[in-house]
Amino acid sequence: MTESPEHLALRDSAAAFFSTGGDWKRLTGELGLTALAIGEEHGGFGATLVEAGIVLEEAGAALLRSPLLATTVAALSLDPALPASAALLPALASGDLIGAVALDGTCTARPSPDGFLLDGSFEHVLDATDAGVVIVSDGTCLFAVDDPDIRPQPTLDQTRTQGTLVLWQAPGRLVSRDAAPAHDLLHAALAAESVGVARASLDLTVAHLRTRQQFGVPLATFQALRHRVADLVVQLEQARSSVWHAVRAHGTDSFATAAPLAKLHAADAAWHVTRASIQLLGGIGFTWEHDAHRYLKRATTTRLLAGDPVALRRLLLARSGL
Amino acid sequence: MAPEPSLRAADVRAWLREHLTGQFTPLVGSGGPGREHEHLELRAEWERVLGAAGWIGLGWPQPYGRGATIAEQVVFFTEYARAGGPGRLSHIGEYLLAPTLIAHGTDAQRERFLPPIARAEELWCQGYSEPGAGSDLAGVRTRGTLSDGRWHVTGQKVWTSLAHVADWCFVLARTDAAATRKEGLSYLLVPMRQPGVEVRPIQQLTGTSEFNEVFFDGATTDADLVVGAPGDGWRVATSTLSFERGVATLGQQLGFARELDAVVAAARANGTFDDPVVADRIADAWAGLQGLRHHALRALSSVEPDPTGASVAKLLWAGWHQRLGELAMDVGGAASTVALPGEYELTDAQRLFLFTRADTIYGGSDEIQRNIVADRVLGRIPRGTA
Repeated sequence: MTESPEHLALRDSAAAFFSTGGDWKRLTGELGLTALAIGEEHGGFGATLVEAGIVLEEAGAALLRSPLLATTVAALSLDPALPASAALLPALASGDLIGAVALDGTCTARPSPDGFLLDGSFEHVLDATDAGVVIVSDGTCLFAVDDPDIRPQPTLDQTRTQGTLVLWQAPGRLVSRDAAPAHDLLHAALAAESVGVARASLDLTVAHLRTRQQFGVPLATFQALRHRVADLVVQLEQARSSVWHAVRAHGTDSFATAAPLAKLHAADAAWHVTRASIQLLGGIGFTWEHDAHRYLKRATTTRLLAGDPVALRRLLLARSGL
Repeated sequence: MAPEPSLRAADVRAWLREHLTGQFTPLVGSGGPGREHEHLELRAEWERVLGAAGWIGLGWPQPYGRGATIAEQVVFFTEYARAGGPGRLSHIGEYLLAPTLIAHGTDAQRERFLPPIARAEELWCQGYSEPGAGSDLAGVRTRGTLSDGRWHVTGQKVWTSLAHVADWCFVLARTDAAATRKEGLSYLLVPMRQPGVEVRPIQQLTGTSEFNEVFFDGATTDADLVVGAPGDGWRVATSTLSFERGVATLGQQLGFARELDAVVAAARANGTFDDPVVADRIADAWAGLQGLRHHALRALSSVEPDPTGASVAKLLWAGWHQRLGELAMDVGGAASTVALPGEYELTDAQRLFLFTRADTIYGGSDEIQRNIVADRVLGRIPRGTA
């Protein structure tokens, strides 16, 4: 299914740039990818989550090591009407400030003369090693904490960092009175990225099947393999559709179900594709040298973080009105 | 010239409220998969009411139809399903034959056949599958020979939906005995109500009969009732398949939603909803249905149709529907094994479970759909070699 010429151009330029490694200075300055979905009045381009989603999908396809996703989610989680948010947005848009989100942990906030003081601890804070600001949830509201002391954790997926964050009477500024949209945004962003992971992993696999010869013919001629690939395509297409809908639902009430649904479907598709990829690649897929395991580890990590499938289904059931 | 006012949901709703009532009240929620045998005569009459109001051929391009946009057709299907409109009888003519005639037919054929389809005065069935040509459609053996200025058709078709109510059948027949496979086939329009045609219902594992066998024994039709050139039937027949862009699927999904609601209601009533494993499966079914909807919306909004999109969509919905039937049975537990009083009256859950076994077979089995998807991704290979 085709997309508009503008979206295709954005996708192509993002993909071409990410294949070079995605240097943060060029990513933010020249390409302005952190500014995409931020409003023009706050130093952004005023595009939508649709465009940000295209970029994140390509970042996933490239297994980009970058705080792009974290910074994007941090920026879009802020309520721009609050002064502390408006103060942060231009620097997040320009990329001068790297953002992160810490949503799942224990945290309490109490008012102080200068704002709030936060106590809490978080694990699995993504791509936050260089974060200049972390957006923290106390379960109700979001607060901005400057210069967070994030301790890196050793990770299964070496293309994405995780860290722990301990706050003890840390000064925080109120940036949103509603923490829920930050979870939804994280779900949508991880979902968009997962589509890229699934697509790139499938592309690698298909290329192998079309070229690798056994019994004198390409592997791609064996129906047992063809049907497995077809099932992966179906899952990828479902994931694409769920993400397609979710990024367009941003800003509407239905985003609260569309985003976790997209994460469920897309992370699941990426997990299925990346596991099947290793089987379909055979021995070469089990080597460190081949990228297959990097895709598998990213997909596995994404699937289990920020709501695993069981938690997402439970959440969806609660929000479905069934 | 001012554009026609676009089709509004409120207008469709109002029309349905006004007409799907009185004598047609028993039709609400009737027909459709597994219930195609219900109220046939009344449904045929209902089709004529739909036709008189201009609801048939909505999406045909002008001047043949109303030229409604995809979005407008979606509005109609959605409201029709929401109102519990009965399973359609004229859809084979409307969605399969008519676009074929518009693309490949002669002016005379279009003038002869499109108006009675639009008024639901002539119902159609599709004569493709045969006992020896199911997934391998090119294995068609029904013969068509031209003599005395008429086509004479002899052979057997199978799995023919609605053959018992159809007035006409579009038949894929071998008209060149020397040619094989996809060569030498022709797309013939054959009247059903004549001595050389016999329709025998197939009793399915549901106990009901929505499909038929059709025996042609020297049935005849006019020499000019071949669509496209004689021998070009494969191209004509397969192009029909690409006309379907899935507009109807959004309406179909409202039916799915009702079925899911019934499963949820049953799970709440017997307490299984509180079982976390059942709740997880229900949530998965709900998420899957949302996914089907998002997939259909994306397909309909795409600039140009994806040639394998129909196969992907079929694999998605057929698998989902089948799993729902299995969930419906599991929710009932042991109680799902008891039928209703009567000779072989199934409960809704039993019918859903049993009828959806066909979903992954008819209209191109899952395996054929996977072949089509794989052809695009991995390149085409000749069938039967792998």
